[in-house]
Amino acid sequence: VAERPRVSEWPVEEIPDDGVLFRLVRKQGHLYPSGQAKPSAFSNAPDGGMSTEWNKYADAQDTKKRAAVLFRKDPDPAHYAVVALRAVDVRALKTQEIRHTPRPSNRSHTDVFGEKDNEIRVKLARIASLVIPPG
Amino acid sequence: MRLVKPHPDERSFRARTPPPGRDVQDDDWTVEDEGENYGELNEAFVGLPEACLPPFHLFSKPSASFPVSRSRHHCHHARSIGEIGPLCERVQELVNRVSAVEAELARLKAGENQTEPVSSPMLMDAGRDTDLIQRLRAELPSEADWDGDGSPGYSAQAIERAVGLFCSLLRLGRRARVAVETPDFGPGPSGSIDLHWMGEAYELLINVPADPDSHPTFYGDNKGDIAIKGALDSDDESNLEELIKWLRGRA
Repeated sequence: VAERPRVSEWPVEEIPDDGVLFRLVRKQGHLYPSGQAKPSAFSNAPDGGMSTEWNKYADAQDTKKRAAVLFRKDPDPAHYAVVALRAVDVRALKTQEIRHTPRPSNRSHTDVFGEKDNEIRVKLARIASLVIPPG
Repeated sequence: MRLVKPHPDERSFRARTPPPGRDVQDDDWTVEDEGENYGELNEAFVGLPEACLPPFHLFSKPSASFPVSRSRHHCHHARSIGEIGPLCERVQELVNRVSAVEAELARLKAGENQTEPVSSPMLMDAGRDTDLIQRLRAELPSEADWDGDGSPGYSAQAIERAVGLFCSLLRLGRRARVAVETPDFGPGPSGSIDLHWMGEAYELLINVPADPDSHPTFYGDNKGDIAIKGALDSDDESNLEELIKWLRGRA
């Protein structure tokens, strides 16, 4: 869910441990019918980080609506869901670094850097909770 | 009645009729008799495996000293007739034993092609499962930039490799008496394929890269502190044995 990095006038802030990161995931391929996220829902964008949105500047609905902008080939928000990751849980994975990376059009944008190997993807899926189901 | 001879190409007796005007041919003899003993004999051997048949010399075989034309009603080994009863019993016993062995062989052979119970109705035979491959091809986009975010497509080669890997796990699991359930096949990063097992007591993820020269990697844990992690040197089954052992411990 990468928006190409551009110079932003938004200040970069430190995200506290009690911060929550929302991530847009696809209904097909990223979610089990139970709503449990799959490891395939978590990977880095070509520019290196996994895109999320910080709950200080966005709520889960904002994240879901952004599907129409981010996924040009399938912009229907009904095909997407939103999962939440607590910053403290992500940081507990050690190899992952949370960095606020605001975009001109999206102050909440936050990247989770670090290699997304199998272990990390399994654990990210485990700590993720579904906040908005598809549809 | 007609005493029949087993055809060399068949496993059972086959009644053969002599050419017109001849009762017997040198290599294809037929003896006819009206007696009940021969009738019983004939009936006893019909349909039996050739290996279970008694040697022919026990019966009336034509010879120069006793022309077949004269044996039409009298076997020159007349004493053999009296041995037919015990012989039939012996043959029947052999037939029963052979039938039991054949049934056991058929059961074992069927077992070789049978997989452990899986969560999907698709059972894997040797090699790849066509249905599964076709389903994954339909589900996973093959064209590049399918998401508008620059992601590569999922190649048929990667899909077949992932399914082949699963088939190998199934075979190894069956051999080791470990139930290997059908994983979730998902879209991994950069055109790779994820094979994900999520059981109550364990979780296992194998990632098959899009690059055929790159090794599949795996990670599994018991949702606690016991984990397994690494790369598969090749798709060779021997490299999967550790995974099977690990799965056995989780089951």
